[in-house]
Amino acid sequence: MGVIWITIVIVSFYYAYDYSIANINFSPSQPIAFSHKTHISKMQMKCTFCHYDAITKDIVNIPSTHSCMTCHLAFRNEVDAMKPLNLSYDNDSVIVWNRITKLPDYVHFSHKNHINKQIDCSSCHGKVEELDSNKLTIQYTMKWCLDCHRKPELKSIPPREISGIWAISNNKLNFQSGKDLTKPYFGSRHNSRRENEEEFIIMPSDPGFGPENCSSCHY
Amino acid sequence: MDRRNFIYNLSILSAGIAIGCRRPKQEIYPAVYPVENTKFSGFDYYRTYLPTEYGLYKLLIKVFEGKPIQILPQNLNNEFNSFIDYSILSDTYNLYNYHRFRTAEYNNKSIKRDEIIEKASDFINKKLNENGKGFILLENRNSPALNRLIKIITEKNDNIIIKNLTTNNINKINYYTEDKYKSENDVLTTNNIIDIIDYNHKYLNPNLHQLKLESQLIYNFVKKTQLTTNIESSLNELYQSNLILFSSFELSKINLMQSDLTSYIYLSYLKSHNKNIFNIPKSHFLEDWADGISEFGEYGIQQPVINRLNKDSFSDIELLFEIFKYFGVEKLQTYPTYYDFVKDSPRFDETLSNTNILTEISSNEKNINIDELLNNSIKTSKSVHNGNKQKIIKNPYNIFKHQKDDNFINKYLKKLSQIDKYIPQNNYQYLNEKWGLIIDLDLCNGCNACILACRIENNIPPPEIESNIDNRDMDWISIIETQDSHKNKKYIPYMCQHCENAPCEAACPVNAATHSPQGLSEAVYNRCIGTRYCMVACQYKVRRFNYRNNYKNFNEKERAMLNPNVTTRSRGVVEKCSLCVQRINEYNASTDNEKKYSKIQTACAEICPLKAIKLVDLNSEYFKNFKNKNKDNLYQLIVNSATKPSIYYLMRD
Repeated sequence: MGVIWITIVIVSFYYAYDYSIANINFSPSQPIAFSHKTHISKMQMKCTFCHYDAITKDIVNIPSTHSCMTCHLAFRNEVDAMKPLNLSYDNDSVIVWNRITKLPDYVHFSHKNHINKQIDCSSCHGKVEELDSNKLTIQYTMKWCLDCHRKPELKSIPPREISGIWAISNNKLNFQSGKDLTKPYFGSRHNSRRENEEEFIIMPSDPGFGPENCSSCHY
Repeated sequence: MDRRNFIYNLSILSAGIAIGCRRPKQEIYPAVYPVENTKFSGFDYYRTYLPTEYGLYKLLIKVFEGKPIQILPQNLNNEFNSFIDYSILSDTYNLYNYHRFRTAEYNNKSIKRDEIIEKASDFINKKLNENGKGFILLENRNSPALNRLIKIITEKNDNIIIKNLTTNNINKINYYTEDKYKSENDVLTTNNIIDIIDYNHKYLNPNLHQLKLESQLIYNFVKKTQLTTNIESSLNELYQSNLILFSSFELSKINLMQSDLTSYIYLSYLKSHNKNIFNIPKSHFLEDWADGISEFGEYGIQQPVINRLNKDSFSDIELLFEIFKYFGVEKLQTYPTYYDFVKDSPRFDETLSNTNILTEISSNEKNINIDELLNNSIKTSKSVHNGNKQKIIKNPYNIFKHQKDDNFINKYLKKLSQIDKYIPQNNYQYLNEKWGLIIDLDLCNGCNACILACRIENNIPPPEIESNIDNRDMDWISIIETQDSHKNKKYIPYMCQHCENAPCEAACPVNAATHSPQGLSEAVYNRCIGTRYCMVACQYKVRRFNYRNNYKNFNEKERAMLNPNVTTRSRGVVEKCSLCVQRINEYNASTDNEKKYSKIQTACAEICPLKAIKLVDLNSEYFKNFKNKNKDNLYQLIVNSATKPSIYYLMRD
């Protein structure tokens, strides 16, 4: 008997941790059963085709109904699954999605800055293209962030074609060897010049070590 | 308890946790139409012009996701900024004000939008029949459209007299100091509170100074105010006529509430609770079309940046237009809306009428409705006025405190040449930039614009009356009033000095005060546990403890006025000047090409009308040359030991 009780305790504590704190496999029900798998893997659509704000802004947009309808008008479906989309197109009403990925309010994360440094979407979001229903696969903790800021060559993934960012780059990251430290506490930021850089055109800068001081994220 | 019972209870408890502790669902709302014209930064900037009695203000409005956040002067790149009233720079607080009433009312009965014009004109007709004459008082705005409208109306209707309410006459008021002000009981109007001036700065714009008075003085002052002379002659007539269309909130509140007037139309943000008053909600200038002409003949258009938050609201031109269109003035009936009327004003036919160069229309307007009204802040302010507390409070109206210390310069400001002798050599190496400020004390005239800009940029809550009683104020910059050796007045902007040997960093037990590789002294709010050791250790006493939980009760729609790039701090956290890290971080993340052309400034430096504050890279050659040139004129704040601050004060002998 005792063994059963103890296993129940351990298992339930594990699940409590898993669901409430780490939130791994958190996938709330959505109004439309949208599948990233069919859109990305089958249709070969790029991430930034819909989430275009990722390149230019800190916070990424969720595609509006009209950007869905650019394609779905041509093969408009009256299936039950597509009803919310058709409704919102006809009535100008809003589709209410449920949020999955979220950072705490006291952390400032900028999508623009990370993509400018040629870091692929999948290095933070996991392999979304293999999922039918989207879910959390990574636990966002400060340690997880700092691991990548300190040793980016181990964890970060170079830009892939499917994500649609900086297709010019040659899929190989040239990390600078050796790490200069400022004396007070933390590592420094590197922005070396690219050779063929033209003026007035914004080019991706070479990836390097992320900033590690507190006020780069908490302010 | 048995071991078995213990495990039994524990397992039930943990199973409960496992089932009960799920992350709550959170909803996201995407746009229905895609948002176009996205720019590289998160902010958009729109240009408008605001006609006021002081002239035409050129404004630049900072917009985040369609919501106006900050109002700035327009010519930021010139040597000197044009100065703009504090009331206008902080007017986003008026826009999102929770206390703005929503529906028009008459005797506590709400009126629908369609019926407002009908009932208001009925009201006017009734009054005209009783008295024979009607007065309409308007804010004095140099707007060609408004002047044209007035001309059209008065041509047809002899019994209606329209007056511009000139609340201010700069030539008449002359220069007042506090002492002179106390002795004389002059006839002044309320808006002149802003325009009291010190003698010392003759070459400056007289609008620059904020009055510093104790509360009771202002209270008496407000009681004694009367209308200025050009209105005064017609005051008696006005009191008899009983018909007024008001647009100026302040004046109506103070002068006419106390008078015998019993019924009038009242256009404002807040409704009056007197009986027989026709309350109509007023729209904000960021929601309206209008036009204006400056003293020099420049023509500008006031364009809306956001859709009307309250669809029932009217601007003063619109209300006049709609009412007299209903009365049957023929010239007005050719225009379908008041926007068409404004568009047709004479200057449009001449220069720049064919191009859209003066109009930038925001493409991502959104509708936001303001919810029901709350009366909290009104109640507290009333209780403070009426109750016994009035004796205790020294200066509740004195929002911008100036600390006075005549010997401040002798005590604390020390020349660079003196300091270098005893500062220990430091081991810090800054590979990239090291940020610091240069503050020109000869230019600074203590106008307090930097304090206001800092509040809006960094989400510092507006001061409450009660918090000033206990010295619980929260401002990251303060200004100290002193005298120099020639007994001239000097104003010293006083903020965190970002020391290299910062004592606060050593004192913090949880590493919430750290040093950044760019020389900033950081405050990490989410790590801070509120021991306040750093406040004790800090020699300059610039760290502030957050006693209030200001943003806890904020409505979702009220949050629109906050800067999204800075967190809102909660109670129990120590704050201080961060040298606008959010802007510095944006600069750090930009590519080399962008850096060349970017102009990074802190919020206080950006808004300073005389450009007395500058953000400088202390590692750059510009600063090294500057230091060599001005060796004898550069000062630093030193209290006890060598902290090596990175803020430099420039003062010429």
